[in-house]
Amino acid sequence: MATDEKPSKTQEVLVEIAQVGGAVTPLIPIALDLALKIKGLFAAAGDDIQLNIKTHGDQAIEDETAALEMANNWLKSKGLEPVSGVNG
Amino acid sequence: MTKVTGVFLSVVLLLTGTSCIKRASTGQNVTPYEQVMAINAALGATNRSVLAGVVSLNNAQAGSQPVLSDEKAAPVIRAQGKIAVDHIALSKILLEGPTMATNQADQIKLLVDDIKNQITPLINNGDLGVKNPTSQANLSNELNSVSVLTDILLVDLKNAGVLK
Repeated sequence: MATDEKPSKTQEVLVEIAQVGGAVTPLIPIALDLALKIKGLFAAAGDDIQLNIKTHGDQAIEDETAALEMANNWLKSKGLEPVSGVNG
Repeated sequence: MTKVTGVFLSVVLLLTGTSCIKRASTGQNVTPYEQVMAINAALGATNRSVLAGVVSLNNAQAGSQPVLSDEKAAPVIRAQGKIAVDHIALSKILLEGPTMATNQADQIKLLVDDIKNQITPLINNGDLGVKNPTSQANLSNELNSVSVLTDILLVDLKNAGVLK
């Protein structure tokens, strides 16, 4: 993800809201992190809508498959029952 | 993160949301369904990242003890594994496209609700047993990110007409 881009409207709004009070200051990095993550996904989007849908769907499945494998490897290493798999 | 700040963050993200984010290549708005899929991808990346963090905290040693004990890590890791199962099923439905997804709205709602039901108790638990305050705060924040993204996904699914 490029980090030298001009802040998006979302980021600007988040910063403005977060700057309202000191009490919410700790939220800035969290909100910005999420906003940047989402922005990065959109930045990668091309003009082919179907391809974008497939790319993002495949990415989600790839990430969650890796997460499930990680979780089950850990659970099994501790002698615990793994999480049951995916149907279909 | 406290419940209050968690709610605040959720509201901020839901209000500012993703509605004003545009396609980088043309500056045009992405379609509502593309938005759903992007948020869906962010949820997957976040769950994977958080899970890796939890395992890492369990492996990390503070003195001779892990930063996050097996006893405390197990329910978090199990919940995140269940989220992964639900989310894979959800993503497969969403990959079929908006029309097919709309036809499976009930199943989608069940899966999204189940993801929320897995993550909410972990957030509400507050103290996850991490002794280092910074690590504790980071873990709480990351878990909250999963919850916030699920909320945004729900809103975007409604905006896209998949859910009523």
